Amino acid sequence: MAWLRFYVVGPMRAKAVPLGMMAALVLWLAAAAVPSRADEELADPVGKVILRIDGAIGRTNRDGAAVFDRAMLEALPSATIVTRTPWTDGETTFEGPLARSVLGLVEAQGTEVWAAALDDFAATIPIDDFERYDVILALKMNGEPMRIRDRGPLWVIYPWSDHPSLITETYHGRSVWQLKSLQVR
Amino acid sequence: MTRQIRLYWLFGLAIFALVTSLGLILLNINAELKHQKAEFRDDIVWFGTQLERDAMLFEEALEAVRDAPGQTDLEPVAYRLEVLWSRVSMAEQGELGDAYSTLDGAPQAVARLHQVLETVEAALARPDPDRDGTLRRAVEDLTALRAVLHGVTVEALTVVALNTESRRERFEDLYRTALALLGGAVFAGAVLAGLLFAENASFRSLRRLLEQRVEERTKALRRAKDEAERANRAKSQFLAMISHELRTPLNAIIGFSEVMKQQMFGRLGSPRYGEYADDIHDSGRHLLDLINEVLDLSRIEAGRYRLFEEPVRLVDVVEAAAEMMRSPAVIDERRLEIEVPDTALTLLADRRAIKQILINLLSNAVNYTRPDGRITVRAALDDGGNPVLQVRDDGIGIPDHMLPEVLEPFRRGETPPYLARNAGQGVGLGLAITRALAELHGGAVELNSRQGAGTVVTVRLPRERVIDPLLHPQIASASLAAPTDQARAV
Repeated sequence: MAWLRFYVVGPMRAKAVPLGMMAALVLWLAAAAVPSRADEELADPVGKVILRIDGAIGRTNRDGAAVFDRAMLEALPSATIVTRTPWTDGETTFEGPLARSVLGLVEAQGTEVWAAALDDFAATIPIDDFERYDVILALKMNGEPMRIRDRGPLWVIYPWSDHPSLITETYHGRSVWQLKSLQVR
Repeated sequence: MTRQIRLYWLFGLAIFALVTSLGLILLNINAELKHQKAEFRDDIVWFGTQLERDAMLFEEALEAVRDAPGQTDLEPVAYRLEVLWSRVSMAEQGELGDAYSTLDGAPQAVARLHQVLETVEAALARPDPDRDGTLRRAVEDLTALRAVLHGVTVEALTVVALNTESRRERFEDLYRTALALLGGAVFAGAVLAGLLFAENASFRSLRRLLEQRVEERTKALRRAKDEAERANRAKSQFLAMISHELRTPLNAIIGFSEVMKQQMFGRLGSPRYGEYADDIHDSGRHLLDLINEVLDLSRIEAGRYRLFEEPVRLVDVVEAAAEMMRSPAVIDERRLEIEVPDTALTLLADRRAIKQILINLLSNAVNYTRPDGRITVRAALDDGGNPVLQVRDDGIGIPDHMLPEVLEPFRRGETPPYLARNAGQGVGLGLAITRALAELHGGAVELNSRQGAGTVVTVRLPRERVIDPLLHPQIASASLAAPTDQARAV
């Protein structure tokens, strides 16, 4: 992805492009960087659907939306974040696909996502967050899949321990647990 | 001096206070920011409300099952159970849970909720003969917990209000402290500015004082100089007048002693009278020479000596001066050498002054040279094209310490061997007059001498005085023929 970053920070003119547009461009490029997927239709989920993405996206697999089961998400490039949170004791290990990979897969074309939870909680997250930080949609906590009672099945996790500047109400609010859907806007 | 040092101490303290104040402000702000970050957010109210809501939704799901006996779709209950589990486990761990647990009755309520959840989960997990009874009891428990949970939420609201208040108070404290420190900083700055101003003012007054002193001194010096010049002029005038007055009786003395020497009106009775008359005559002439010298110098210094400038061919003047030295038999021809390489060398100068210069220098050379010594008089151009009159001897020379003095009037060697040779010879005006005449021509006198080896006196005149015979052939030739009259015509 190094050549990709070159486009983001390289030419002077790129700086004049609004951040959102740039993020969209990057996501589009990220999608284009995986040609084997770009040409294919998004696969249909086999297991239980745990995430639904709709809104301004380029690839769908059901009624203008992209739906995922656990296996589809596990197949994406994943990352591990070891961090403290206000809601857990001590250091906790989270693992799951990078948010930008998920959005790249569905060819998201927007500046923000509206993340909704099972308990009807919702938060709006700028897509720029996913570019600047390795934000993940955590599938596992301490190596175990998360049940609803563990605030699963998906939890938006920021790398707080690596970026203490993220330890604010704003980013805690964006850390949506029991995530069920994303709407790209 | 001590005042200055005290000022600098104050200066240093002011700066220290300033820096310390600013540092304290920064520290305070930093501490407050850290505190803000560490302090648990107001989420406990939100969390309490959510816990109440999820408990109620769970209760509703249970009621639906309870009110429809034989209901087999337990999915909604299981789902609500899961969601409430997540709430309860959040109340039991993490920073948020810790904060919520500090509220009155919260841990007990959470523990009871936990218990209800476990019971219901167990009832759902395996066939329970008394499932409906279990669900009914769970609903009763949850109904009873409603008030408790709501009470906890209300208390959370109070706690948060108190927190907000104390935070505002802390901010007010910080604000006051910052204000006080800022005041201190401003005060320190003012002190600093005051010090600088005072410093500047004292520098200014010191400078004024110095300027005043310099001005006073300059005035005093100018006065002294004017005074000295006036005194010197008065002295010269006095000397000129006295010399003039002395000459009249001297003329009588010289004239009548001459008459007596010649025995014009009959023989003198004793030959000794003749000798006395000779002595009177010689002394008189000597005195007249001295007076003439004094008169010359006085005239020059009084500014009354006017140069009569005309083309002067140097070889003529040098010959004339040398002739004058030979005529009274003071020097014989063998010992005096004349060097004038360019016999056509002609200057625009005062003939009498140039001759006087040469005679003065030659007299000195004769006086201070052994009888078999050698004297050279030279007139030529130096390397820079300036005309130079030079008299060189191999006499007794002048000691170094006297060199700066001998050009001043009335200065002569006051110790042997100079004293002996001075006896009856001049008053020490020769070199002074030479210098004065040279300076009138825009020139200067240089003295080089080594004791015992001889002396070289050089009179250097400005090159502008040289008359180029190629450019002014008529002058050169005219001066050869009839110097004085022709020069006037030019």
